[in-house]
Amino acid sequence: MTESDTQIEAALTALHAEFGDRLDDVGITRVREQLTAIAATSKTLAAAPLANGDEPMSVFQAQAKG
Amino acid sequence: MSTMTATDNFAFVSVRELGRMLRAGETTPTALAEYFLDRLDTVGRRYNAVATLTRARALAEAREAEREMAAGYDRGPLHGIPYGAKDLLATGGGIPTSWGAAPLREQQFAHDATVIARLKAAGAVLVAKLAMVELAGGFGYNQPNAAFTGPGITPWNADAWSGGSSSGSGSAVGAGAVPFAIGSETWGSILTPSSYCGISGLRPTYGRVSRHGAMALSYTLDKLGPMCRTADDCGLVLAAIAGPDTDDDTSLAAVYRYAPQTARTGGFRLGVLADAVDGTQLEVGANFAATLDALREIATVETVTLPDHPYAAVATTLLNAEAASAMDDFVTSGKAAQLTAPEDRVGGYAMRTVSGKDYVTALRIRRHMVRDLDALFAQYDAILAPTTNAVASPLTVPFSDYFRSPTGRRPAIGAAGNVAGLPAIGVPNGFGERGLPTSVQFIGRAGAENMVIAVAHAYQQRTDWHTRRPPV
Repeated sequence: MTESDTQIEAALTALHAEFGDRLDDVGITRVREQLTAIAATSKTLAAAPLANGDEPMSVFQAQAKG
Repeated sequence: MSTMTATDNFAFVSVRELGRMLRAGETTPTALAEYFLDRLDTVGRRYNAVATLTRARALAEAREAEREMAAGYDRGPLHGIPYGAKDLLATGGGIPTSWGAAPLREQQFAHDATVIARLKAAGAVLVAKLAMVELAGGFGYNQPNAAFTGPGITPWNADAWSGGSSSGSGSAVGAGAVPFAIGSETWGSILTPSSYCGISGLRPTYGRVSRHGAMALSYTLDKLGPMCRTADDCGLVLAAIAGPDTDDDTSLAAVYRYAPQTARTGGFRLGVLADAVDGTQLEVGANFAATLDALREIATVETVTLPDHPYAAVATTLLNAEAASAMDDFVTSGKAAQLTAPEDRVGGYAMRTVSGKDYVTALRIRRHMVRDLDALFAQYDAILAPTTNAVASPLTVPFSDYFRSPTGRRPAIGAAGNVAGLPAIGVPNGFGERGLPTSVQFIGRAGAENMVIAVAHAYQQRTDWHTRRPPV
């Protein structure tokens, strides 16, 4: 298993512990697919070139000029 | 002078023209309210566009408008005009606000959302709460049957989707069942149904319109905006609902005034994305090329490329993390099991695992995106792209099959525009397979709604796609 696979299975285990009574096999498959997509998105974010001083846009405001 | 009755055909008349008719004594607010209530109850329901008819409130508001107009008190261009509101906007007076979700279909709020209150102050008449995709589509629905009201259907083809998540707002306007509607967009939910239903839809700048009283899906992505027959009508409606609101910290301080323009000295300066038609259906690409030809009569058109950023990854991360928090109570309560779409019933779990690190990283990248996009958009009056890569999918086909990927129906510019909070207007520009409409979108710099409306209006002055009527 890759590190990513391990993280996906760990997340699935955690979700199953909390919501397992609501997830049948089809539901678990669906959640695993979504966790895989989230892991891929995480890799994309990690690849973005950011410097330590690049602060988050934590109070978001569109740059309206008028 | 004759007064039209409720049997007269107001179905496809613009807001501006209805206003003229009211002031000329050719109809009355009460006649219009009765006409559109009846049309929603028949034609609107055919397309699963209606969540709740607000008949008693509509007739009361119409009678009040009638009294005021008779007394010479004119509240402006929306006075006496009926409209519908997406059913995620709170309405007081015992009118349910379901968020499109079966387990919330009896949900009520004590007060009107700011947008509803502003439209009331403008004299508009609320005739319906309009159907929508459950929870604004935030749980990952993959086919049209994702609301207790049934799948949204476009009036152009009874076997095709209306688009979402503002499904009823799109199909009701498209079918001539309301003169205008209010929709919401987090990532495509105004522009997509506007495209599929052959109407004009405006996504305002983030913060231009208060979200107070609207269901929150993503605090930093959600916007509210008008869905109308024409670009000009979008400006009229936006002027009534925009402006600062002490109940919404994200609302912009600037006052918005609609300033209609039909041309610009020296012509408009437009950009077109170099990869605008990559991955589009054949007809979508051909109609976009014809649109560019028409626009070259009134504009210069230059090829541009978007700054290189992971727009979709940032949009997805912001949406997932914020929706996980916004919908936490709903998910933990177990109510998701009662949602209509099977995929939505389990769609609220995985998003809870988005890490804090990734959310903050997305916000850090967002700062660069906003800066770089502003530098690009400052050079143009608007940048063009097809509104959707394809026409509406068949009702029975999963999106992932028809559009080839879960996000294939949404051009990349959609993620960029929503992450940066940029205004965009989509207008009809032809037809594609199965007789379904296609659309072009004009995206502008933050705060530049008047400019994108002006470009779209100039296009509509030279074409007649927005006047075409579906076989209702």
